[in-house]
Amino acid sequence: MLEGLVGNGDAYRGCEIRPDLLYDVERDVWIRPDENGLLTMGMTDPAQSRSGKFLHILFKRVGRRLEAGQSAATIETAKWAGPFPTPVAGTVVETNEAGYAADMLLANRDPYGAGWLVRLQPDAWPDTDADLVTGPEAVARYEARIDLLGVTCLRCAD
Amino acid sequence: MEPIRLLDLGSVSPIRSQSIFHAVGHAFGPDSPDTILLVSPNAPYVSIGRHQDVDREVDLEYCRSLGLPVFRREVGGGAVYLDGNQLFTQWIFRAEHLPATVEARFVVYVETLVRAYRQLGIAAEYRPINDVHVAGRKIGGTGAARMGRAEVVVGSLMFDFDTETMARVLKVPSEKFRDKVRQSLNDYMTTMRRELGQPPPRADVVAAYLASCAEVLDRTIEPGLPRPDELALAEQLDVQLASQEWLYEAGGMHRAGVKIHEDVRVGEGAHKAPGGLIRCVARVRSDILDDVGFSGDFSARPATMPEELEVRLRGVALAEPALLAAVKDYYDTVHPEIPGVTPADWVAAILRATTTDVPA
Repeated sequence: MLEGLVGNGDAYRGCEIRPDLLYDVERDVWIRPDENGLLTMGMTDPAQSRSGKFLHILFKRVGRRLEAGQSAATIETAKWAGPFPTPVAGTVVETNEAGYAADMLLANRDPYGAGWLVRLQPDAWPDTDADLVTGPEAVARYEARIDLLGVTCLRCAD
Repeated sequence: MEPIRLLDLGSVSPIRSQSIFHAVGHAFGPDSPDTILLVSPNAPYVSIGRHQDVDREVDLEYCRSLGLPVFRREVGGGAVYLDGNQLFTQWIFRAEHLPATVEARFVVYVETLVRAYRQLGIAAEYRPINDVHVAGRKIGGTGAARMGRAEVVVGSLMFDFDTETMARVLKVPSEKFRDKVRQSLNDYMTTMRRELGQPPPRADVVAAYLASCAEVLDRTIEPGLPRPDELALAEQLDVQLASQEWLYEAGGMHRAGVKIHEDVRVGEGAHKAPGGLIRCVARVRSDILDDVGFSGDFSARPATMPEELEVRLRGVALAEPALLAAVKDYYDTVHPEIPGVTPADWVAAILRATTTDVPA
């Protein structure tokens, strides 16, 4: 089962948590605020490792307004299906549908870069209702979660 | 750890057999107990995977003629015919109470099914990633999904299975393909009835399953009742999951071919040779061409062609050199007259049929 999968350097149990991003740890979502006021978001490294290789994604349409916690896309992997919930209320302005059409394993290869899922125009920013963390606090909370779940991260290399 | 709540709901309507586990999943709160739900539908229906397009996967006209409802589920995978001869075993658990990865979750979940079958006298085995096999035949199917805060794993214990109707409800490219699916379901699936002569009483199956769950999970299981909020949500989902909007949601996922089990799949493909179109229906078992059938508008002599070629190809490794050698051997010994069709054309048709992706 490990063919084509590689560990991720010296990250915590193979899981990379970038301290410059914001995280909703419980929902396993990362957020990068862009200079134009939009939020780019995607699945974290532990989340892509837990769900396995992507097989299909159904994105919410651009222009769709979402409450916090609502699904911005549904994802089907080889043996699992589930939502990609936005931690922040807002309107979908762009999805990475074209990227995933070209390579369905983007999130399994590069979850924080090419594997982004949606861009949102937040209703309000910063969102004081969202439980978002960054920097050393994010890394510490993720390390505790990785221990709790017993997860080891793997990336697709091929 | 707190006990697992058992909801043994017996026999319920087709839609409720789907809505109840979706409801328990979506109603899962910080204090909700891990739940094992046992339920069977009191009438047959067809269930399609989360992202399948119903028009492309299911023969809706046939389903309507039989009065079979078709429902989309939030669990992935392919279309399946379900009826009262299956006991659905649905787990709705806090994510932290199950192994972190989907694959590891199935190891635990499938082990409970395997042990239950063994207690009932059936030599079941775990076939990774998420199958239960008995001597190479699959018994039941499993799947997993996230619903709100809950991780859900579903599967079934198979008293019996109607392979005829299963093959009939699928939308397939040709009747020849359907025949191959039907035959493959019969060859590569099994049930408690088939293994034991007759299915055991439901109470015995439930007792064996719950004993297995308690042992594998090392947890206490206590009978309980659905909460009012779960029942209220199930009533809402009875409507939503049966709605046309939800059924016709364009999921966009379509894969040619039918996966019978982890090692066996049926596919179809066509290749245009100078002498005509060659259609091929092929069954692959563990990288061996298990069965193959050709049709098309090519003209061929002798009259034993293409049946004789089909027989020669059975059991050949699914690799271009081996296939080409087998077809060339046939040409060299029989010297068939098939204008504009070379050995490489037959191989191309086989490869088209066998390289199509199939649903998980």
